[in-house]
Amino acid sequence: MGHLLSKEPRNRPSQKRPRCCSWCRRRRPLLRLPRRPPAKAPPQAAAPRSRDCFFRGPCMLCFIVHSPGAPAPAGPEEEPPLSPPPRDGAYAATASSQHLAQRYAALAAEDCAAAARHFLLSSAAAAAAAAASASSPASCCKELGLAAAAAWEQQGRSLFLASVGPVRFLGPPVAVQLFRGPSPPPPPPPPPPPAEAPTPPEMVCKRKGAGVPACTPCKQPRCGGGGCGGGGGGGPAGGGASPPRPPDAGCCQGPEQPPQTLCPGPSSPTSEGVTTEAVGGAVRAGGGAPLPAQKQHECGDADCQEPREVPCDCYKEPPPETPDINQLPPSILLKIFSNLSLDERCLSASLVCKYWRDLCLDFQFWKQLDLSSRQQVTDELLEKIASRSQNIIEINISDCRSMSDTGVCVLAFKCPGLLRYTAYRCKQLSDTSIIAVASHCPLLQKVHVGNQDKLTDEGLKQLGSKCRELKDVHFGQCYKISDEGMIVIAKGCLKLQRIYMQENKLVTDQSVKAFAEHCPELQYVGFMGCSVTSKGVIHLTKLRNLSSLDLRHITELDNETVMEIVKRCKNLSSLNLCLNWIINDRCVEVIAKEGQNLKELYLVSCKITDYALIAIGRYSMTIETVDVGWCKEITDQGATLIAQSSKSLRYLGLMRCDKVNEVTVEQLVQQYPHITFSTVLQDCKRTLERAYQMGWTPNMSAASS
Amino acid sequence: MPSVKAQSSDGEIPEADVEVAKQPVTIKTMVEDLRMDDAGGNDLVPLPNVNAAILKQVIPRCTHHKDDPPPPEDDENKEKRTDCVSVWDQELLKVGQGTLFELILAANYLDMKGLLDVTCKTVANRIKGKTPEELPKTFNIKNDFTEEEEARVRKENQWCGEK
Repeated sequence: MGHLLSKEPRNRPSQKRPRCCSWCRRRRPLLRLPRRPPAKAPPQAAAPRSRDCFFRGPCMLCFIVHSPGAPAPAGPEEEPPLSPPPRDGAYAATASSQHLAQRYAALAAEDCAAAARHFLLSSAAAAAAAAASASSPASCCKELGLAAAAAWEQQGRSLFLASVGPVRFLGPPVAVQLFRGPSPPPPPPPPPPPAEAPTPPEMVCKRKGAGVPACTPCKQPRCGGGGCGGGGGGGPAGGGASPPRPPDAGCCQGPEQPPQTLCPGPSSPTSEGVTTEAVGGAVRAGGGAPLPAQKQHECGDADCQEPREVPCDCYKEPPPETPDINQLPPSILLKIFSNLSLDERCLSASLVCKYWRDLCLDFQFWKQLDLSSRQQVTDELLEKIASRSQNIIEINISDCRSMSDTGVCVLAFKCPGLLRYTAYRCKQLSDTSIIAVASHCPLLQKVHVGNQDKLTDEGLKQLGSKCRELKDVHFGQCYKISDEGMIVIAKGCLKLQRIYMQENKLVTDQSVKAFAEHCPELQYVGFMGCSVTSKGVIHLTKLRNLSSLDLRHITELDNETVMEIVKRCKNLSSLNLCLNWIINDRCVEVIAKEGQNLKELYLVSCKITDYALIAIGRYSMTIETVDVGWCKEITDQGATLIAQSSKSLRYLGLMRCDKVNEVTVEQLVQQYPHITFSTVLQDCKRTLERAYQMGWTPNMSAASS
Repeated sequence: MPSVKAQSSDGEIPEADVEVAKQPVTIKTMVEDLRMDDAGGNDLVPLPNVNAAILKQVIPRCTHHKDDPPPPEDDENKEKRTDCVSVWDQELLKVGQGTLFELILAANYLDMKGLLDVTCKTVANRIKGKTPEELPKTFNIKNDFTEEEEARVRKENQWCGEK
């Protein structure tokens, strides 16, 4: 037996793919449908699409093959007794399998790298074993390729399986021995008939804790040997078996074999099972078919030193109906679980089995936590969670009343990588917590602490000086905050993109000016209800990136300032001027003309008339949302004309525009179905519809007494 | 259009045109590495790990989605939504568990992120709404908890439930 491939280089090695060694001449991975018998003379000009061994370095297959004393085979140029496609397919599979194996090795996944190594070794072992069984040098090389392919197919599934067990090297001495001939040479299986496959024997492996899938050992045996794909050493996920395929899948072209148990006993290791299968399958067209019984014994013998992985406790059992979800690789199971909510993982999935419980504790599920509204979140729990993950990047503890500054401090201390901190309405928290967050989490990007009315400028000063990466802040209804703290933030956090303030009466034009001057990247600015006037607002024209501006109910705002802003800030897409009674039709006309990107315009309680609506309809190409609720002078005419003339309008707010008739609106609703009209009646109808959809019915019998 | 033939593990050769077949990154890598796209249509891409039945489902999906933009990288900021599976995909994925898992493995092997995302979402949707008692039955999993262990897990996660 021996050296299976011709030593003479057939083709020039391509620049891109050097041959791994002078002995090795990998088959072209691509299958050319046979056009003529391959009666070519040896070493000639490289076929234009020849490809050499995929590996850059010495490949395992070659390593095994090049054992000393092996005579050169006639080489694969010979006409194979088998029909070409299967052979080529096998070779193709070999080469491509190496390529893929390389790719898998590159995948850093814990469930691939080891499996790939394992696969290479066992396919090499398989190849070697296959060679041993061949009856002639000529058929040796075919069998090598076929066996490798078979092993690859069997092992392929195992590549997806988790935690391969310890991989043992198949060293040259063993290969030599195999090459020199097996101890009890089995009768070579007859060439496979090209006919339909017979029913493959049931080969089944039972992995610990997993379901019992069938291994159809034919063309695509899922279960590598009894060990279920050898790939799973002992990992909980590592079930080798994949879903059973129908036996009449037409895949198996092997000779008829009586049903065999693949793993005769606990001494048969998983990969041996693979190997033996491969051996048996060697002569079959590209597939691992059931093995002659002797082969298995041979592999179980002492002289067969294939790597022993996890001892396979295989029994012959009927396959289950469905494959086991736990046999998917853990990375895929984690991906599936990532689509569940925290509750679903903690309250359902964690209770299914130990494996799922452990998966649910995976770090990735504890990086971004939404604990909002859970009253059982205490300081102890926060500490526990923080200690477990230590890599929390986002946390939301809004409405959690049972924890205190202490819990937040511990969390901040343990999670220095915190990026986003949200804690609305946690009125029990004070500066202590925000200072701890600022001190321990220098990477902080988002702080939303609306309605923490104990917060003072001291907290903000710490934030401003220590958290230079801040992008997004929300201090709405933190009534104690004043310009002092805000200016420190403005000067310290130059990357700010969003500020939201609400009813902070101590925040004045000074703050607005500071932000406009120091934070050029601001996009979303809101000073609703703050003590801000046109003098401050005018500075916002400096912000070229401004896209959303909320100036509801500020102390004073004049039309000229607004027009100026809209002219200068070309990116403005949302403008909220509600409750600024001075805003008039002329201003709105300018807004409509100048707002190139304006999509949303809110004018509730402004001093406007139908003229404003008409102007919007006429001049704005982009506006989608308009709200003129409580504007007493709006009439049917304005509503109708804007619906008629605006191509972009999708929402028109007419709440308590008492001069607009509900009948007219109903007509408009029918006429312009793409526009949502909001009035008292329309909103009630929508609410009712949604209630019906949710299964509510009016209770006629309940009399209100 | 040049076509690519992929040879599944059981020997069948569903054909697909090159652009469609390039969606699975595995095939794309093979095709490009081996410069198949400028070849004739006679080369076979061997896929020993994917059986024909699954390949026959994967290829139509590739065809259907061939003009989709590449799926975005997993964005940590984005909430994972399971209701954004397209209707077409929903139909494709109305299959039994066995086939669904095979599709997942095929998508993983072929490095098709879009299909993998969608199949994983589908499995997640089959998990949602079920109690811990129903789940083992649905997925044929053995509950290997002892009573104490299970009680411990429940207690540890109790905070989740109460709002």
